[in-house]
Amino acid sequence: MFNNYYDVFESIKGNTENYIDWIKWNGSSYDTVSRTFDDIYHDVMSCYGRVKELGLTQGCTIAFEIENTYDCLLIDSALLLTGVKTIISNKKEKTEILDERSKEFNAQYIITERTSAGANGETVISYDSIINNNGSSFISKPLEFDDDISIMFSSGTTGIPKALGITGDGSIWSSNNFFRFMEFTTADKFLIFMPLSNYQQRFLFWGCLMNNVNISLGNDMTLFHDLVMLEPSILLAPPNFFYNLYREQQMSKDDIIRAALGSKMTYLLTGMAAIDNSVLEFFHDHGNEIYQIYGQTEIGMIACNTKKVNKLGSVGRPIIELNVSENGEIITNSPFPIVSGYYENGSLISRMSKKRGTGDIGRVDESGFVYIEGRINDTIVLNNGKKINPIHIENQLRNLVTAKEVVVYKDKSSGSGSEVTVVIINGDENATLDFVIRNIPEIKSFSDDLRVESVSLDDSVISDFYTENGKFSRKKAIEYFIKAYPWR
Amino acid sequence: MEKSDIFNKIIKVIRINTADESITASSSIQNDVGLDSIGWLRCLIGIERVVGIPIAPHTVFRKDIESVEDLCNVILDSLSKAGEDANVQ
Repeated sequence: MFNNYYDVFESIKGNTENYIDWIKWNGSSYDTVSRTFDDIYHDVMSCYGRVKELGLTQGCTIAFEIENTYDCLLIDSALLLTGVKTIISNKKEKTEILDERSKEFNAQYIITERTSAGANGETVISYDSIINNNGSSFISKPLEFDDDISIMFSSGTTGIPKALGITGDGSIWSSNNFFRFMEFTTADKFLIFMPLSNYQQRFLFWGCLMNNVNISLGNDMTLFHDLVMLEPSILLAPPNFFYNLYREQQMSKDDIIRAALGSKMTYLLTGMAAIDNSVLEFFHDHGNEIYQIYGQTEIGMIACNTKKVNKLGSVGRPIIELNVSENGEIITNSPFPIVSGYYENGSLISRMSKKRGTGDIGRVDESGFVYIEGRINDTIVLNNGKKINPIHIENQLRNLVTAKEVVVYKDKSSGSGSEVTVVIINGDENATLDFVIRNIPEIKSFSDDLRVESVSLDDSVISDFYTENGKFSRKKAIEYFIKAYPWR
Repeated sequence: MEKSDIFNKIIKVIRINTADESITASSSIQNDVGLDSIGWLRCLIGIERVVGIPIAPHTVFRKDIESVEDLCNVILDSLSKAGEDANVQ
């Protein structure tokens, strides 16, 4: 039973069987480094002692720029135990953003490696001054959660960053609930490579600690080296990871997928966005099952497929209470919400209730498997009243044409001509109107009012369409096309 | 192994990963090579295999690398710093 972070870290004390590992570039090659869970405990305690010496205590607000390193995990862990509230950012964001957030939330300290931080007079603390200073302290009693533990910025499904308050009890409960449902074992090893600035990755770290699952700590620049050198058995990656391997495998006679995933991979997980069934089937036929899971930024993990119960095309069975409303929206009810609410100008402006709508349209089949069919806001209602799911069409198109991305939308502005526009970004010559109509049956019903456009865009433009988790934001792309390409 | 041979091998890897035979040394990384970040990481693995040495992880994302030729030169530089006969395949 884990009531707080004191319980989480006490549980790993003495555990010399489970470990965390990572690779490190030494200038000419990679070294592999490993620490046991017992080492993590003692390293965190050392950091905790140093954090206390620096005067960081419960009630402080700290802007923390977190990178995917062991040191940052230790610092984050020590800060959690101290009871400070952290305002999370990452080094890919501009210094101005770090400073803005720090100012908005009245941070007294900034933990970062940037020398230019601290524009508002905050005390700037380097990672080294916490890690390499042999602090020593042990926690005598756990802190109660009386405030959010962290503020994180998430683009969620809209692509627009929002400040969310993260709760301690929700974080612990949600990550532990997910791990217990998935039944990962102590022989497993989970590769965490997406940015730790996204709280879901920190959840995975806590979940591993609570369930004695080994950890490989990677990052988005060394992903394929992490896979081969660290040989994890569990990987959670966004759909574009699998699309890339799928396309590469189709062009090669070698076993690209096996070579890329390492020799011990047994659990491929994906979520964050829809993935086409043909990709799932391809990997299934290859002997590497991809298990779709479903969650939301504000709610945490909602439904999961597992090795025991998996239905291709579904996102699995619910792991929290779930219902479907009359208009098809998925409604969840979590005993411990992860997110307390939204912040604006440093203050909590709206509280999240335990029961909330997801904004996703879906259904539950007779066996209890959940299917996501789109976003309420994305459904296109044609002039004849027929409803179409643009995401479903996009997923089909991704497998029919070679393209960077595909978006399908209805331009509601006046004089837009065709009712539905299909935009194929950096695609091949196949991407014509005839080809699309021929290959996607549901499009035939409105093909008279359909436009198919192929565009070539610079990577600098396309990169704006993605969130930090590599999720493609349809909203951002569609806004761009409506503004930049007034189709006539 | 001649510089031009190494260049050709690197360009071949990029062509395979992009399924685009029109990629040349003068191709722009941003505008001509249609790879997302994961695609580039796949490419890096392929390049390491043909040049025989590990390449610094941030190499393919360096902002000062504008063309395929720039990338090849950076990798050549790594090869010469390795100071050994690379097992170029």
